[in-house]
Amino acid sequence: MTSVSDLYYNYRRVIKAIVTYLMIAGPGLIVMIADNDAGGITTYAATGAKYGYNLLWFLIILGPVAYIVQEMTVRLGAVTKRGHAEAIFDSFGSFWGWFSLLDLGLTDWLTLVTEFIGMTAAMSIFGIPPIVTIVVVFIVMWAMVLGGKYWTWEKIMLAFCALNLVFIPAAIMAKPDITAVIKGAVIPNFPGGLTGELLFFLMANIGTTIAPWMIFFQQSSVVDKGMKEKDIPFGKVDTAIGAFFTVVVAVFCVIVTGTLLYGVNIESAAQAAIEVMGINQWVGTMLAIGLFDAGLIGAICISLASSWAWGEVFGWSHSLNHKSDQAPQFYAFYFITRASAAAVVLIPGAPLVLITLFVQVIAVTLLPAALVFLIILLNDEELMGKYKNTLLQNILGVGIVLALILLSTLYAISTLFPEWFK
Amino acid sequence: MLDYVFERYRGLKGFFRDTADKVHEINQRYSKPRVKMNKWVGISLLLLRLYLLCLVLMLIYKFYTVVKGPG
Repeated sequence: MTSVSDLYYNYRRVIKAIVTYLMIAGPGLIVMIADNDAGGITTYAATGAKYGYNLLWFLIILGPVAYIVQEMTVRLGAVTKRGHAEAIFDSFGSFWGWFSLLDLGLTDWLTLVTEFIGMTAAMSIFGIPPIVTIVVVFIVMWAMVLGGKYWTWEKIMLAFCALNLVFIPAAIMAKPDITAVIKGAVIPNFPGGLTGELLFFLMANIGTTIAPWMIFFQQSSVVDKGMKEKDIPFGKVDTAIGAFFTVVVAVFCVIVTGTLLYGVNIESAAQAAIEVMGINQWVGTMLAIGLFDAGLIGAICISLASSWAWGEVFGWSHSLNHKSDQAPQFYAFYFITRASAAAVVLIPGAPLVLITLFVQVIAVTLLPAALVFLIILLNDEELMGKYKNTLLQNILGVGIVLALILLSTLYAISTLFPEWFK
Repeated sequence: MLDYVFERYRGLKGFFRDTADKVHEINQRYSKPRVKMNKWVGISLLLLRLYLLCLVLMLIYKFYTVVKGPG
């Protein structure tokens, strides 16, 4: 009898834990899936076409790296109940505060332009004009926040995140060589040696894995969701599952182009989708849908990351739990950043390629600062109490931060001065 | 028509004045950093300043080479 009651008790405990997780789930999953935005999908498509399955192992390593960085934002948000922008102002003063806020605004806006480039390019494949895509995206993004409920917004976002898994059936339908895929995933190798070009691809993949807006987004999202210290373990699980899915999407996207476009020079994910359509109509269509979805998720998260940050600092009402008349400045900012970014894409002859390259450089001016502030804040005992970084977390965190700073800086330099890397 | 333009101008002026006041208030509120300035924090912030200075110089150099053109 005892064992039956024990079993029942354990069953109830597991069910309760799952239900609690489903209530807490969101910020980690969304930020990690949004990490595979339009720029990310382009990078993965180009990586697969250039190196086949050979760099799958590297993408798998990036999952834990993303988790270690983002997990810190969960603890910081849940303990301080403040977004990253406000935390920087409070702890480091107005100089670093303004630097971070303005740099975030510029980086996010430029990234937003690239998301609209991705979305309009993906829909153009189906013959939909850019203006129609942008209007529909605006209506969807507006409808998601119209109800003034964080919960509604989050669940719609999770549905969009689920659509991002379209790369899995696409990869299966591409009929990859399973043995070669497993070999590429478990055996680290540098195809053709550690050349300047390979380094560029490695750095580009790192650049798409950790972006400054992610730190600001997840911390603000944790605060807006109302997560408390007791929810931190669930927040960690949420982030870990998100990191797993971000790797899954990246790996399957590489498998698609690595199988069907190996050896083809790919400049954009839209080009990859068109090329794949010539080989397999369905897989190409899935690639285009995946690119559009990635751009949409990225656009929603990035414009929110900025709006939350500015709202926190300027003291505006800045919660998705408020309706537009309760938080007019927050929603106006959310609308204006999107509208101006979309307008750039519609300008005939706008320097879109230059903007795409410039994003990487500007992001590098913000990423080191955001990461350094994160580590310092997580070591502030007065602020974090028992949730401050442990020695192991510091060793891992500092090591990753230094590596990210070094590699992302090299990437920015190689974007600015490609001749130095030849 | 002229009244409408003046009204818009006054509205815009008010917006910029309010924003400037808000920025001033934010600067006052966060004038003193709360973080304890130990050796490691000081070194990190100094290195961060130097790093950003290097990046800015590099961007200026890039701008100069673009303006100057090839050759």
